[in-house]
Amino acid sequence: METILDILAVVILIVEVILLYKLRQNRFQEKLTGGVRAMVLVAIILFPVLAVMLGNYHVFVTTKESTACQSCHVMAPMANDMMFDTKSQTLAARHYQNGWIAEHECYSCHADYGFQGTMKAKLDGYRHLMRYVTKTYEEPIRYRGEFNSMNCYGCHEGSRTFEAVEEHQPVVENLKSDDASISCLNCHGRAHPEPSRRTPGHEDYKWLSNPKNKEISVKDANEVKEYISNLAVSKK
Amino acid sequence: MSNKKDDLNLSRRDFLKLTGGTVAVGGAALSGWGLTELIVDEGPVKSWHKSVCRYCGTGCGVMLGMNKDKLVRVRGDQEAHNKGVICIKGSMLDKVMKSPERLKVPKIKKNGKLVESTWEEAMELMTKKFKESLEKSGPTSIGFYGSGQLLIEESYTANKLFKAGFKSNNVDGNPRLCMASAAVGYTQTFGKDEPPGAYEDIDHAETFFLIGSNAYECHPPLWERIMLRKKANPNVKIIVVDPRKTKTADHADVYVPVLPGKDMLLLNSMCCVIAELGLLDEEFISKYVSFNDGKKGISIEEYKNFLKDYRPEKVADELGITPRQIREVAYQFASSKATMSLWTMGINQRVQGVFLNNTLNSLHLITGQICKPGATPLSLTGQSNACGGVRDTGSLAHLLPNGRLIAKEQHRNEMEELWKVPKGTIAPKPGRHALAMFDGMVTGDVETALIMCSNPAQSLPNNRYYREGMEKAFLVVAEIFEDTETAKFADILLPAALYIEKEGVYGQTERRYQIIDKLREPVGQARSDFDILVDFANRMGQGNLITYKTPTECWDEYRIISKSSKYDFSGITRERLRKERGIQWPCPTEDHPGTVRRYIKGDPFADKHIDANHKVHFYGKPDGKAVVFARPYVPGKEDVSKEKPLFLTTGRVVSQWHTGTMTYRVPELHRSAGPGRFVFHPSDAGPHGLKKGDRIEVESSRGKMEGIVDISRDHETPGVVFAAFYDQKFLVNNVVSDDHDPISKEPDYKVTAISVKKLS
Repeated sequence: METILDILAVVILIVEVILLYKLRQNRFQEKLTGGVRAMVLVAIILFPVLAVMLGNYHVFVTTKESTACQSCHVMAPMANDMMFDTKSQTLAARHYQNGWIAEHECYSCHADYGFQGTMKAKLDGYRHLMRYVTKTYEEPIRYRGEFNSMNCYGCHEGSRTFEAVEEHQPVVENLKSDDASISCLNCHGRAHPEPSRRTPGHEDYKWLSNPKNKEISVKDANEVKEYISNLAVSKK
Repeated sequence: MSNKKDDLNLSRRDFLKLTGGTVAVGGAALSGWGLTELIVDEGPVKSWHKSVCRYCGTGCGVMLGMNKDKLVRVRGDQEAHNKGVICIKGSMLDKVMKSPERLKVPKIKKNGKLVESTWEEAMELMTKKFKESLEKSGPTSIGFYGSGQLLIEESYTANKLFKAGFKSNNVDGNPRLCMASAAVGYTQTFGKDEPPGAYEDIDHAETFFLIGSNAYECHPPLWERIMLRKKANPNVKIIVVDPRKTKTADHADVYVPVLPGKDMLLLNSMCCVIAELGLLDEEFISKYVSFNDGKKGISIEEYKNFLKDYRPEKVADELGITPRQIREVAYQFASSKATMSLWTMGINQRVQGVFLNNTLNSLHLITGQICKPGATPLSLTGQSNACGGVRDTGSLAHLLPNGRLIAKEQHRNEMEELWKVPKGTIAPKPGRHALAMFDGMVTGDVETALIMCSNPAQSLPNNRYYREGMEKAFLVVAEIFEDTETAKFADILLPAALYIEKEGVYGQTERRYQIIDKLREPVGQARSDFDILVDFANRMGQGNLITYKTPTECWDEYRIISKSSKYDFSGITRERLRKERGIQWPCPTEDHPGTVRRYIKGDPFADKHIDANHKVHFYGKPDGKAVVFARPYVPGKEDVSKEKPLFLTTGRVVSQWHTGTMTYRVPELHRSAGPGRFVFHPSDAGPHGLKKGDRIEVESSRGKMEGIVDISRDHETPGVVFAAFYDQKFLVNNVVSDDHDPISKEPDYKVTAISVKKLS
């Protein structure tokens, strides 16, 4: 579906360029013929509207990809920890590297349930983008508001390993109550590297912001192999 | 065709249009951004504050989310040693702080009932009663029973006030019930209390030897760390020794289900196997270890001869396991790259608690599994401040601050000088330990006592007996709730501040000191235990002794005092505590990073002894050598028989903490734990005709009690009945034996022989 729409968008773009060229040729005509009027309708109204709709859809879809999150430099510590640090014990790294989330790794955890959740995530993504392009942020960036533990529950509910742990019962009870205050992260730890490691100047920051900067001890051949294979093999 | 030129220059009008369009688009974008900034759901938290969990000895760093004076969120501190992991109890601390059942005004017992009073009246009566006892019956007639949950400044003040002010060494507390054996064990072996290693060793260990520890339920963040270590390294092995098949045992690579009360045989047998297999680290032993039989030094050959009585084939039957299991475990322990032992109450709360602790330390010493990353013995502490508050301040009947002993004149004189009191002020005879203090109330020798932050009427073994004493004595109880079992015995009930309603320092398992800041005012008229003690000192005419007025001033006095000991934490200032995520002592200067592992390079007291040939120096001993004790197994009085065919063992469950004073009030945790009950293995329930929900009478040598039956095939073992002690309607300690270790005086909560009778 997405591929078809992408092809359609390209076709529309090409046709639009041709139409605009044709219209330009007719721009000093006193009277517009029926064909030109139709071209105006399509080129000035229909295609732009369609293009906006397709563009929005494209943005909606592609920003679900973890690569979209990664594309901002400020997200690099999170992404590199998640994808490349094989010794990382953060929840993001464990989920990503074990393949527990099939696709849209960042989005799966950071968007709430349903259409409302999607819209909320998109609006927040827009806020991130604006912050990023206007450079109105400080590292380490911090999660604003509260992470919704129901996003964890959405996947884990009903799974054998989740249900087998009876200690989850009071947690679920709390999460579903009117006075919910608990977080899954309380017992399961950090989702991403702790803020101190994501702070410029910290010894880990250099590598977290760009794994190519990782200093490798040549004494440890296995580590070198592991590092290179991690760099070379993309998950997708 | 038109004659108009194709003019590409922008007219003024076009420029304005373009500008207008750009502004409109830009404005829309910025408005959209502004809108998204406004609609972010910030949650209820207005400010976050670094703190420490209120509950167990793990000492997890937490971030507390406050909304004005309300605690609304608790999260793990990602920057602290626990790396953001806390447990379900700590996660719901906000609910405890919200509890409407808090005690808010002082009360005095009149005509058998507690009636509301004023602080002035209550403190005056308290002062009068203590003065009367001191004048009439002397310093031994009064006592202080504290807690491993009081802040360091509070325990230090009470200890100083009673020992140097009232000349009474009757200062003890609930840490006597949970880690006295570990403290004595470390002191005998290394010459100094507190562990040589740290939690960080978990990240390096290849073998975990858990004995008498249900870390899954009792120290969940540490268990999570162990599991992460195992996931990160497939060579990691977990050995669990426990009479119960706990949830910890579920995850073991090797589970060793020894019979209750017999594990001293296992440890000695492991030492024996290690010696026989030639797995002794002879170089380490020759440099850093001496041997002793408890009375005198012995040779390594004599030690090996001692171990011959514990060959696996000789002891396996009594342990209820096979010789092969013993050999496997011993080999794994000694041959691993790094072995870490972890234990808790299953070892400490035993009549041979000190011997067990000694022998665990010995296993590490004879194999060289110590003083290197991942190799260490580490006793996990039960309470949040048993180490810092009680062990380190010396707030036990036989101790003085920083490892000093009352029985040693030199130590008394040192403290008299540091506390600026005349020589001879501190009485030379140790005071009454926990059980003896309440026994003294029964006999009438202890007339008046102050109990703070503890619930002995629910937690003491052979409970009914000691309750008699609580009824007889004049008790002043500082409490957070009015309906606790101990509050019922109070003659004066003082409302105490809870957790972030006061300020002070906690010290947890691995010698780490962390600060709790005051984030809100106490409820009602409640006061901090520190304020109560300072007020009490003034009223008792001890204003010249307790000269400080704030916890910060008290900390500075104590911090400077520590300089004259090997505990030296004088570099841990209040400012550093607020800035850093806890600091491990020794830490002698303000720029010292703290000490992760003791007795090796990096420990300020070992550094000068370390050279190319000496990597370790046990400076607690005059010769720099730790002691391996030849400790025999001595059968306890509590053993199964035809009349009492089952063992009763008590412990904690994951959703409840201690006597449930706080956690049982949290609805989610209350429902999760359910009521207190006796849990049987099906193979024991069957022959007794028991099914889940039946009402039974349990009888031990200490008495009888009724309770309901639960059955667990997964987590109990045949012959062992488990009961937790969090439910005040199920006082299991009524039947638990108060036999105790003769050295540490710590009671044995783990081994009581019982019989069972079905009632319905």
